[in-house]
Amino acid sequence: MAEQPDFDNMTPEQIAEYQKQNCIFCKIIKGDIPSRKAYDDDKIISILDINPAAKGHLLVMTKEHYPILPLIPFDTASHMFRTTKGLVKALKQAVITNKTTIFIANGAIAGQQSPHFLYHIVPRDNNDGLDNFIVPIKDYKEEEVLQYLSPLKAKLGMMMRDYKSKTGKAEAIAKQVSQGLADSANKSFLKPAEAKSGPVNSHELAKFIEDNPKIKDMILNNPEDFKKEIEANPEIKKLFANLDIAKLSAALSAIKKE
Amino acid sequence: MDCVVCDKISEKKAMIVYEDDNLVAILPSKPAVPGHVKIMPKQHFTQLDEMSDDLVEELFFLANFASTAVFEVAKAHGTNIILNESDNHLAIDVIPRKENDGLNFLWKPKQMSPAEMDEVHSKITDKVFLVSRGDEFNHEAKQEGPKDIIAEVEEKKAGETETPAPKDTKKGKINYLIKHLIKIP
Repeated sequence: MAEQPDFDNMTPEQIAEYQKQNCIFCKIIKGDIPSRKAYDDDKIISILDINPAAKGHLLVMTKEHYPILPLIPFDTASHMFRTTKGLVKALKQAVITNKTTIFIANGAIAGQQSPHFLYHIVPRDNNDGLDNFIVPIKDYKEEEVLQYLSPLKAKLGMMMRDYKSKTGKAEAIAKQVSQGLADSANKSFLKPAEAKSGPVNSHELAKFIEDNPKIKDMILNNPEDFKKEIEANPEIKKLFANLDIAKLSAALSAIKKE
Repeated sequence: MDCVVCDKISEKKAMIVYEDDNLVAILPSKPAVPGHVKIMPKQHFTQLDEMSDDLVEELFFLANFASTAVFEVAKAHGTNIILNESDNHLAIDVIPRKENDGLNFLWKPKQMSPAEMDEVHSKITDKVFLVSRGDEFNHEAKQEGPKDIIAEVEEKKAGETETPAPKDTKKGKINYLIKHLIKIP
């Protein structure tokens, strides 16, 4: 039975499936291997580490098998992070301390010992000897450090924008924009006469823009392209009839900056 | 309150790679390795459990994204994400890892007898029950078996004496941990 699988001729999916079936933590979660559970719900589980760094050392993991943190779906990760706060609080009360270390390793090189992603909550105490958790401070040439500044800035900005759009924080911003747009539409770029007689009022227009982030984006960043889009689409043309797109774009970006 | 980190955040005297209303991520001037990112809440916290659930979630997502980003940007083969609570301004370190980088965060396991493990296990589960009455576990907690009348009464009592009920607990869904409370004198 103990035949070594031929990883070279397996698809990534087959390898993942093999890892799942041979994963000790999946077996613990199923109950095939006994463990001391501290917390258990439909998405995540926390157990005591059998090789603890300190008394009360907990492992937190998803019930579904994921090899690294970035692969965990958004909802599950969100639930896991929020629950961690509660676990930290409970653990501090249980072992009577006010400090913990949360330790995550992505990849074997970083000390990840199992292909099932998990992380550690370790209760800490003064003089507990766990000095390895101290992050070292070292001297490097400034340019060595600075080389990562702009690429990291670009990536993190993008990832956090995406994250905020998932959590609904972007919706709140869009609402503000739409409200601001409605206000400024009344004030400036929509001529009063047209606002009354036209097929749509500024509030409807604002809602339309809010509901269509692609259009909003286009008005903001490529007003010229948007003008072409209007000509090509009678529905949109009706909505934006008699509007000065350049002004609209300027107004939108002004609101965005506020 | 004197806090060097707070001062630096307000003066923006750092190499900032991300910033919003609540969080800031910087490249420390003396990193563990180049590509090391340090993430902090702007407000002064020292403990994770002092922070709101939303802020904790944002903090960890930003750490997760920084970890993903350094894989590519700093050509890392792995990453460590470390949060050491102390008396200082709370921070998460995201450290890109490579072979022979001279770093080692791993610990020596402590020898503990099964009896000692059982003892700390029971203390932790007790506190998890208690904490779970608060806001921290207001997600979809699984119900273990049917609730009984005593549990319901206990829940009402707890509701009277306890501080605000969880904000978004699902209507009519009793936290399965509540029923364990009747065991606690």
